[in-house]
Amino acid sequence: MPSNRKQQHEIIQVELCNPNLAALWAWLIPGAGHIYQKRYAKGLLFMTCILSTYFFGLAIGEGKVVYASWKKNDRRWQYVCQVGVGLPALPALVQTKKELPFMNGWMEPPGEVVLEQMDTLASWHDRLNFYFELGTLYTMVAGILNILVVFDAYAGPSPIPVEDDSRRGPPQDSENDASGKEGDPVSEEGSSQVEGDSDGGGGTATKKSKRRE
Amino acid sequence: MFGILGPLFSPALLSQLLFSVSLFGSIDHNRLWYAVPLVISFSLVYGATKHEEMGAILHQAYRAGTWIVGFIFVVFAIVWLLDWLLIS
Repeated sequence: MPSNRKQQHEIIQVELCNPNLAALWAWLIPGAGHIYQKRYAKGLLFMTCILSTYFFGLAIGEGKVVYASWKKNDRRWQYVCQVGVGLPALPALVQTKKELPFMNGWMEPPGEVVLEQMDTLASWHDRLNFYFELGTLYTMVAGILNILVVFDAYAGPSPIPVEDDSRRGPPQDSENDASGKEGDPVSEEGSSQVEGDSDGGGGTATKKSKRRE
Repeated sequence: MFGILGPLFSPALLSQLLFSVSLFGSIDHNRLWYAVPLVISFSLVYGATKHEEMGAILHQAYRAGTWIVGFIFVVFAIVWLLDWLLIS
């Protein structure tokens, strides 16, 4: 007979739909993968947090902090992190093609960088000063956070305390639920199940949340 | 004298540390407020990647945010102390 503690740890089934498609949506537009999976609250939370962080950084950097360049003296490695935010950072890739100017030079790389000369990049740093670095940091953090979101859309919440019941056999009594220790995630077919109240959904991967004896 | 830790006490590194600390003393500490939106955003996203329910997400976000702010505060206190000892 289930104890009260066991009743508190019901399993939520998370509908992951098509995980690959959800991950693609999640990368392109932060939160869109979760909205596709009908996880609306989390989708809106991700969208709000990540896009506001990204656009705040872009704004305080006056739109100059997101660009793609791998030229001598200007290896813009930060863009690798920024592109994690997906579609909002992709115009920078298009702007690397000089024959395709668009959006009035938005996210365009600064051109040739000559050390110890006041080139375009130096003038940006001179004008924006601290805000150039701060805007770069904000946009990078937004991109990195969206990588976490892509994983969440693909496989469900990450380190949920679980235990595989199939290895232990059926529960014998309520003592099994008494200690409060936690185990590792387990994947099965079907859905993603996490700790909390059940909403009865189905899906494509399983996580269980129970307590170890 | 310092054995394997000798390079850590090289004059070049110490002078660089001194320079960094002096820079810290010269910056406007109000800039630390720019960390607040980042901490909130990171905490919420981190919490949401660990849980599915909003209550659990907010609880996890609170814990993560507290940890980050504590960590920042400890680093701030150490650098501030170095600034006070070495520069002032």
